[in-house]
Order: sequence, then structure tokens, then C-alpha cells
Amino acid sequence: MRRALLTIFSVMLASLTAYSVGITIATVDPVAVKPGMSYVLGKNALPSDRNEVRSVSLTLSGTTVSGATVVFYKRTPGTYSVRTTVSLLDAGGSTISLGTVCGGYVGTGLRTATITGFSPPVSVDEVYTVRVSIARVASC
Amino acid sequence: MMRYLLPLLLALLAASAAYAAALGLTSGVIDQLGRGEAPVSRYHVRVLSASITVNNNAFNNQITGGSVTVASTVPGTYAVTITVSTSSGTRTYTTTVGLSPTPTTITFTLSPALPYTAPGATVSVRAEPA
Repeated sequence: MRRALLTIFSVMLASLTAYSVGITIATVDPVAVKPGMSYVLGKNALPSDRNEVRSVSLTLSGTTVSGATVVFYKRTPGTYSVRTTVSLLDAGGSTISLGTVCGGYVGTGLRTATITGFSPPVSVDEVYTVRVSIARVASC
Repeated sequence: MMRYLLPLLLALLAASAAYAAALGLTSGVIDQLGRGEAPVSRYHVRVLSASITVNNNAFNNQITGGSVTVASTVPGTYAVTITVSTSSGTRTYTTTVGLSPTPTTITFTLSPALPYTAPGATVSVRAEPA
């Protein structure tokens, strides 16, 4: 009797174990490491600076962020300097890289600021948030 | 009768426990499930640009829509959710698109339009397998 039970137990154990390791899953959805990104576009409300960001585009070298193009609407008339800053933030909201450019702008309308480098260089896959700010400054 | 039934029951219990342990060992890491015949891909979503369109150039203007350029490291069909928020509120736009490492531009409209208030607007893009 004991031998029979042992045999039954062994057969069951072997078959169930074989089944468990033989499971095949036909399709598995990809798992997100980084499912998305956010862009924060700045708008100023000072009487002397009421400009706003309309768009930003990152330039990549491979996967490294190497530049950015920012288009902003220069609402406050006159000729003055504007500093454009693009901050790249990680998942925790900490700034991991910065790019900035300063230039003089005339009149009103859409204006473009081109950032040609970020320090330190980071991969776009490390960036969760892109924060763009523009600020009128006394001089560059 | 009980003399035979009890050992059989114990054998069944032991087999079930062994089965559960084996299943747990093989599924502890999902891409090692079974014989690892269906490796799981891990994707990064890359949003390379974000742009908003506004109804006019006045200071108290409103965001009517925009566009984003999106790529995923793993090609496939994704449900993309674009959320635009300002201090005045939040609007969400959803669509289903095919994404790949080559960037795709998605244009979106917001209804109703969202006041573009200081200190600015946040455009969030999230993509999940559809």
C-alpha cells in the first residue's frame, strides 16, 4: 500500500511540476519602464514681461539630448533680452540637466530661441519632465 | 477505508504544495515564466516635442489644441493620453496610434478650450499598450 501511494504521489508531483514549468504565454504586453513625459511651458504675468512659451522641441544625438528649440510669443513690446532655460527633470522632479540661451528680441510676435547644448549630457530615457521658462533680463 | 483515504489525502496535499512551490519558482520573475518562451519587452516613451495652439495672441488667450511628437522604444499599438493643465483646469485627449522608435506626430484638440494662464501649461503624454 505504501509503495502504491508513493508511486501515485511521485507521478502527481512530476506531472504537475512538468506542467508548471511548461506553461507558455502566447503574447505579453510590453512593460513600461517610462510610460510618458511631461512638458511645462512657462507663461509670465509681470507687467514688463507677459511672454509665453508656445512650443519646445528636443534635438537628440542618438538618445542624448543635445539641444532644444523653443518658440515663444513675445507679447510685451520693445527691444530687450530674454533668457530661455530648458530644465530636464528626472522621475523625482530633480533637475538633471540644463540648457540655456540668452538673446535680444525686437517687437512682438513669435520668436525662436535655440539651445545648442545641455549640461551635463543626459539620455532622453532619463528625462520625465521638460520645463521651459523664459524671462526678460536686463542684459545677457 | 479511512486507513487508505487519509494517506491519499495527504499525498494530494503534498502534491498541491509542491505544484504551488514550482509555479512560484518559475513565475517569480515574469519573463522567466515557464521556459521563458515569451520574453517581456520593456519600453520607454520618448516625447520629443510639445506644442500648443491658442485662439489668439491676447494675454487672456485659450489653448485650443496642439501637437506632440512621440516615439516608443518598442513598436506597437498604444493608447495615448494627452493631458493639458493650467491653473484654470485640465483637459484630456485620448487616441490610439502605432508607435515605434521613429517619432510620430499626434495633433489634438481641446474641447472646450482651456485658458492659458500664468505660470503656464503642462502637457503630459502617457502611452500604454492598447
